[in-house]
Amino acid sequence: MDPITRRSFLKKAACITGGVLMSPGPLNVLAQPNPQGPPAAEMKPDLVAVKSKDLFVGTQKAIQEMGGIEAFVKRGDRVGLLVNSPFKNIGASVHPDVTLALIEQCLQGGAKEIRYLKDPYRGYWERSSRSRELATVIKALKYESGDHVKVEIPDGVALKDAKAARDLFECDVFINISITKHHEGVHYSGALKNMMGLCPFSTNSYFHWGTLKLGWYGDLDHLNQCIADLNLVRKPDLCLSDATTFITENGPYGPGKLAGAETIVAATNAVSLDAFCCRFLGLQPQDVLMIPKASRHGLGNMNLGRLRVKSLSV
Amino acid sequence: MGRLVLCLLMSFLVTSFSAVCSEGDEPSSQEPLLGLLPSEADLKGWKLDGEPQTAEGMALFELINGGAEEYVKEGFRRAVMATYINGEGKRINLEVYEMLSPESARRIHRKKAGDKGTKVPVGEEAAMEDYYLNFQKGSFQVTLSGYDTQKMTLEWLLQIGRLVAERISAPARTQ
Repeated sequence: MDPITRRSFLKKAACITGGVLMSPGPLNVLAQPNPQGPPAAEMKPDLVAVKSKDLFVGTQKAIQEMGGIEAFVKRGDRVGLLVNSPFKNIGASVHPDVTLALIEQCLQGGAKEIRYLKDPYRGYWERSSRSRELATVIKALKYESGDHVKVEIPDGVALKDAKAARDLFECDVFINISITKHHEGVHYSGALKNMMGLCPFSTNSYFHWGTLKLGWYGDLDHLNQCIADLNLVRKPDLCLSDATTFITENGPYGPGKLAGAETIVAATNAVSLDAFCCRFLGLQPQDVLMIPKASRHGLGNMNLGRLRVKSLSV
Repeated sequence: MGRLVLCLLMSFLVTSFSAVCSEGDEPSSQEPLLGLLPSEADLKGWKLDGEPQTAEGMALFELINGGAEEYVKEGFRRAVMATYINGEGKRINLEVYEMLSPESARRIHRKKAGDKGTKVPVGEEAAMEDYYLNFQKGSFQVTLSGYDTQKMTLEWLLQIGRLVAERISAPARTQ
């Protein structure tokens, strides 16, 4: 067996990943002293980065370090999962082991229903070696209804209203699971960008063409502002990012060159998560326009030096 | 108001795009893209995993999201996408994009393949990467991808690629 994930790609991507790690990247940030001083031992971290060769175990550990699933899901809750999993190419969708680990945790935490807010591509679950073992978990999922409702966004700068999945507003808990990856237009796709998965094509078209500048990426400032504004619709209770194996070109769809960081990242807001994860692609948070724009909306802190960041390996 | 203008713009874009498409010397209906997909009889041990998906014009955005931008910019006509699965559960994805001209196809191929990869004899230009193959023949740009780097997977990418290339009529169509 010569799987793309794990060790083989880590070796092949050594140059890229090594470069990222040598630069002031996310894992280097972890090693830097917090300018605010070390957080009190009993305080929960704002962001957790877990390096693991086993994505399932790594994801569970990340959730545990964020306070356990019980910090987010209460017995009887209806949980909505927005998972970036519509693209077939490897490194373009969240690995199903990450998703399954979270779903299993939610069910163990007493969730009465798990709603999948954006359907995965056909054959997605079969990519997990645990899909048979967890067949009942997968079967219990409720997939997207396809219904959208118009939502007002009074604080939006470029986007004053949007159509978004009705299912989102019927959930007690909202969890955003993104993959860290390249994006041709906005350079980086993560948790903030993942929110576009909730919207129909008509709304997303406005993001791209709303200022009448021709081209899908004709007005990047408008596109990034719309993404930041859309995130005002509902803040996630928990965000996860799969930064294990991801495309570094031809994003968001792929296929393209892969890099691997073997890291699962968890945070309580999308801004901090993206500020941390964009560095895996050699980017700084301010280079990804949607991050400072969303931060200005008060959706999270992009200054990693001011966050309680915990890193570990399992 | 903004949305109204956007609707008008969208209508304009779709209309313009359809007009550009119709300038081609061969209407799309004359050569169904599905005919380019290798049959299960050609692929020992492999079968189609579900129905192939197709898209024409701007509908490509709904199929591959932002990935459609480059294709549309270079002159996209239509596409078909299919996934094959074998008895071991291994999957191979096949994407066939018909562009408006061989030049369009060559440009998009070179953008996707870059100057990296191993040159392989499929179509007019082809590049094999760790787990995927891009090639161009006539007005078509084709991408095949697997989920591992096993030698057998790469051989099947080549085999399926060659079967598709054979089905693409030669010489290449011109505008």
